[in-house]
Amino acid sequence: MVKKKKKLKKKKQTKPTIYYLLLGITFILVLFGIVMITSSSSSLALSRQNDSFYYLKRQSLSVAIGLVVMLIVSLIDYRKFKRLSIIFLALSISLLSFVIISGTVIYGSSRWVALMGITFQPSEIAKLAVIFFTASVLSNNKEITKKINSLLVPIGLPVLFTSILVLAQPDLGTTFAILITVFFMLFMAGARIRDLVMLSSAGFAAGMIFIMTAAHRRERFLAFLDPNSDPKSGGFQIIQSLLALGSGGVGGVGLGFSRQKFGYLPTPFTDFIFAIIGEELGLVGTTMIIILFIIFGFLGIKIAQKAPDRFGQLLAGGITSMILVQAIINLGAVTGMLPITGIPLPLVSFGGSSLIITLASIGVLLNISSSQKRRATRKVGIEGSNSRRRDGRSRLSRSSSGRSA
Amino acid sequence: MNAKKRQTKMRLSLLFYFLLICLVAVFSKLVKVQAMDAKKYEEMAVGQRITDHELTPDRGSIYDRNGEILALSTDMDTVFVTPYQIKKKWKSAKKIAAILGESTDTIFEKLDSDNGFAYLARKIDKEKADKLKELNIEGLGFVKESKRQYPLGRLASHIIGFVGLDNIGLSGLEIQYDNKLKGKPGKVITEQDINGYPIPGGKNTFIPSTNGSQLILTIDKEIQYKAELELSAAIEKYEAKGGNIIVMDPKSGEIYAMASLPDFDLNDFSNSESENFRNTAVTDVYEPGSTMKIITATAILEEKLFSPDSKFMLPGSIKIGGWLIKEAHGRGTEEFTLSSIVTRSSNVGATHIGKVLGKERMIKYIKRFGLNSPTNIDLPGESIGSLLSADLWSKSTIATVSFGQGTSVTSIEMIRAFSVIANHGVAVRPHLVDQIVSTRGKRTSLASEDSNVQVVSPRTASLMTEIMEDAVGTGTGKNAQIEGYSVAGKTGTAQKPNTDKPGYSGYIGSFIGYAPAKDPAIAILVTIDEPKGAIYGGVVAAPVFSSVGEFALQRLKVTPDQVDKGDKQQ
Repeated sequence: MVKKKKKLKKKKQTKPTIYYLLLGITFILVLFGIVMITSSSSSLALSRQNDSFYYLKRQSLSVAIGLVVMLIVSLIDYRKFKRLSIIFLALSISLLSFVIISGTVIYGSSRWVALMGITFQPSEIAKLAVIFFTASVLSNNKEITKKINSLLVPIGLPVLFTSILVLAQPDLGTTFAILITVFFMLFMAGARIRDLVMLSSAGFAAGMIFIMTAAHRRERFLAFLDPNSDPKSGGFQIIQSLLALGSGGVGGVGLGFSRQKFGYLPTPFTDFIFAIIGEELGLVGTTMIIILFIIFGFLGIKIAQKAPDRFGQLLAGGITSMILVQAIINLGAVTGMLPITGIPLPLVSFGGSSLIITLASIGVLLNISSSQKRRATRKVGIEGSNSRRRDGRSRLSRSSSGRSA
Repeated sequence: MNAKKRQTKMRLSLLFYFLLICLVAVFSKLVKVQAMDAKKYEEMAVGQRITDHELTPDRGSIYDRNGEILALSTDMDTVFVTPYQIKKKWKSAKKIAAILGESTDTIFEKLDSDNGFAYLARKIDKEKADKLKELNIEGLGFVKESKRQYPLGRLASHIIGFVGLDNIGLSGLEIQYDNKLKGKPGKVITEQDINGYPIPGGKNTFIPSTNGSQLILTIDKEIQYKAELELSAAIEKYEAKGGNIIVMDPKSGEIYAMASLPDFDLNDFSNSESENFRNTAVTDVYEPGSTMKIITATAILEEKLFSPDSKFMLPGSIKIGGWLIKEAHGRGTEEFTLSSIVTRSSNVGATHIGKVLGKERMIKYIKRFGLNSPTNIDLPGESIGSLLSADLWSKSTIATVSFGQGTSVTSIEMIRAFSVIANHGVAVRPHLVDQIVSTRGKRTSLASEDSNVQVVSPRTASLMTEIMEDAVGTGTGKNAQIEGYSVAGKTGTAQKPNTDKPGYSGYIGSFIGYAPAKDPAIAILVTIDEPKGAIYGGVVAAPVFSSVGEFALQRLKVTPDQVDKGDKQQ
C-alpha cells in the first residue's frame, strides 16, 4: 500500500511545471470564453431560441466534451498517432468530400456535417490531421527538407488536396490557417529559406488570384482595405467591430453592458467575440487575451523545443502554430488589420467543433510535455537525443527510472 | 544530428518571436482604437443607436376678451409614402388618387420617386385618411399633424394672422407672438438595436413637449364683427378701394376692434392675393387731411397763443409760398373763432394759426403726439408717419401741414394722437394682447402704463374736447352723432399723393372721434380710401363711426350721458 501511494506521488511529480501552466492557460481562456459567450449571446439567445442561456448551455456541453477528450488524448502516447496519421488524413478527406456532397448549409457555407445526431465541421478535424501528417512525413525523412522538390509529392499533394477540399466548403480562413501552419512546420523542420521564400510568394500569388476571382471575396477584401467605402454591407462588420472596441475604451462598459451585441455585430459570440470583450472589458480585457495567447505560444514552443523526438517537436510546433495562427487571423480581422475570413478565436469563441478539436490538440501538447525528460526542465539544450528518446519511450520506463533515482 | 536539433530549436524560437510580433501588432492597434481614438468610435456607436423623435407641442389658442375662440390647433391626418415599399405602383396610385381627388399621374410620381420618403397629402380630413387606411397599401404611413384653424374665417384676419404648413407664424399676432404660441417641442430619445427595437436596459428618455401659451386679446369679437360689417358696407356704398377702422379704449390703449379692408380668409389664405395680407391700419401711411387741424389747434392752446374764442377775420383764400390755399367749400371773408376754424374745418384758418405757431413748434407737437414714431402696437410691420425735417420745409409747408397735407401718418398713430386728447392729455400704448396664459395657467398681463406720458395739459385736452364736441354737434361731423351719447370728433378729407408722380389724385375721407366726450370709453378711427360719389369724411366715414360707436357703447354697457338732452331736443 505504501509503495503504491509512493508510486502515485512520484507519477504526479513527473509532470513538468509547463504541463500545468499550459493546462491553466487553457482553462482560463475557456472560462473567459464561457463568460463572454453568456454575456454576448443572451439577448440573441432569448429572441432566437427563447432561452437566454441557450448558447451558454451548448458551449458548456462542448467544453465538458472537449475537456474529457483532452484528458483522454493527453494520456495516449502521441507517438502512437505517427503511424495513424495517414489514416487520420484519409478519414478527414473523406469527411470533407462528404460535406461537399451533402453538408448542412449555414451562413452560406456547407461546413457542417451531421453524424449520429451531432453536427460538426470536418474542416476542424482536417486541421489536426494535416498537422499530424506533416509532422509524421517530415520526421520520417530527415533529409527531406534539404530539397524542396522532394517534398512536393509526400507533403505538397496531400496537403494541397485537403486544403482545396476545405476551401471548397468554402472555408477560406481555415484554408489559410492550414497552409500557414504547414509552412511554419517546414520552417521549423529546417527547410531552406530560399525555398520558403519561393513557396510563400507562390502562395501569396495564388491567394490573390483566389480572392479576386470571386465577387463576395473581392468585396470583403476591398472592404477590409477601406471599410468606409461600403459601410452598409462589405465594410459593415469591420466598422461595427471597431465601434465596439472603441466604445469599450480602456476600462470597458462593464460585463454584460455591450450595446454592439444588439444586432450591430452580426456574430457577437462567435467570430467577433473579441470585439465584445473589447467593448465590455476594454483595453484591459483585450490585453489580457493577447497576453494569454502570448503565454500559450511561449509554452507551446517550449514544449516543442523540449519534445523528446522530432515527431513530437514538429507536432507540438505545428499545434502551437495552428492555434496561434487562428488567434492572429481572428484578432487581425476584428481589429481591421486582416480581411474577415470567418475564423473563430480558439478556445474563446462559441463553436463546438473548433473547441473540441482545439482542446484535443492541446491534449496532444500536454502528452508531449509530459513525455519530456525530467532533466530537460532543468538543463535545456545539452542532453543527447538518444537518452531523450529512450526516456520518452513510455511512461513506464520514466517511472521506473524515477524510482531508481 | 545535434546541429539539426539546434537548428530546429532556433527556428522554433524564431517562430515564437514572429507570432509575438503579430500579437504585439494587434495590441498596438488596440491601443490606437481603444485608447487614442476611442472617443471617435464611441461617438459613432452612440450615434447609430440613439434616435431622437420630436414630439410637437400644440400651438396655443387665441381668444377674444370674452373667451371666444379665434384660433385653435387641431390634429389632422398626414399621409406619407415610403416609395420602395410600394408594390403595383400604378394600381395603388389610381386608388389613392381617387380618394384624394388628385390626378393619378401626380400620385404615381410620388410613389415612384427615388426618395425614401415623400408626403402624399398633409393635414387632410379624417374621412379621407380612414379611406386610405382601408386600402391597406404597404408603404403608406399615417401621422397626426397639428393644423391651425380659424373658426371665424375672415374675422380679424389681419390681427390674428396665419401660420405656414409647419405651424410657424407668418403674419399678424401669429408671428408677433410665435415664441409664446408655438410651445416647446418634446423629445423621445431611445437606444435602439439594429432593427429599431429598444435595447433592454438602454437609454430611454422622454421629455414631454410643452404646449404653447394662449393669447387673450383685447379684441371684442362682436365689436370687431360690427366694425367690419359697417366698414365694408361704406366701402361698398362708395365703391371705395378700401378702408381702416380702429376701435380703442383711449384710456388703456386696449383695441376692441381693428380692421383693414380688403381682407382675406385665414383658413384659405393661400388662395388670397398677398396684397390683401397687409394690415394697412398699421403698415400704410396716408396724408391725414383735416383731422390734423386738431393737432395744430391743440398746439395753439397748449402754447396759449390763442383761446378757443379768439377771433380771426379770414379771407376766402390765402396765398402762401406761391400756393393758393382755398376752403373746401368756397366762401367770402368771414369772422372765425379758433373753435370754428376747427368745427367748420377751415383750411385758410388752419394756415393762419399754423403760421402763428411756426414750424419748430409744429414739428415739436407732431412729434409729441407720436405722429412720427411707432406706437409699438403688438403687430408686425408697423410703419411710421413721415415728416419733412425742418431744413427741408418750404414756405408753404407750414400751411399744408397745419391742415394735414404734405405730411403722413398711420391710422394707428392717428387714433393714438386723438386718444391723448380724449384721455386728458395722456398718451397710451395701443395693444391687442391683454394676457398670455401659459399651459400651467400662469397669466401674464401685458398692460403697462410705463409708456403713458402727459403730452398736453388736461385743460388743453378738455378745451379741445369741447371744440370737437361742437364739430360733431354743429360742424362738419354731424353724421357721427350717437343717440344718447356726447361725441367729440373731427372729420378729414385728404387728397392722396400720387405714388409714381408729383401731384394728387383721389381722396381719403376719414373721421376720428370718441364718446362719451367728457369721459370716453371708446375712440374710433374710420378711413375710407378713394370713395366715389362722395369724398368728405363727414359723409363717408362719420356714419360708420356713429353706428359702430353706438353698438360698441351699448355692448360695453356705457351709461348714456345725454339722455335728458336728447329728450329735450326731441
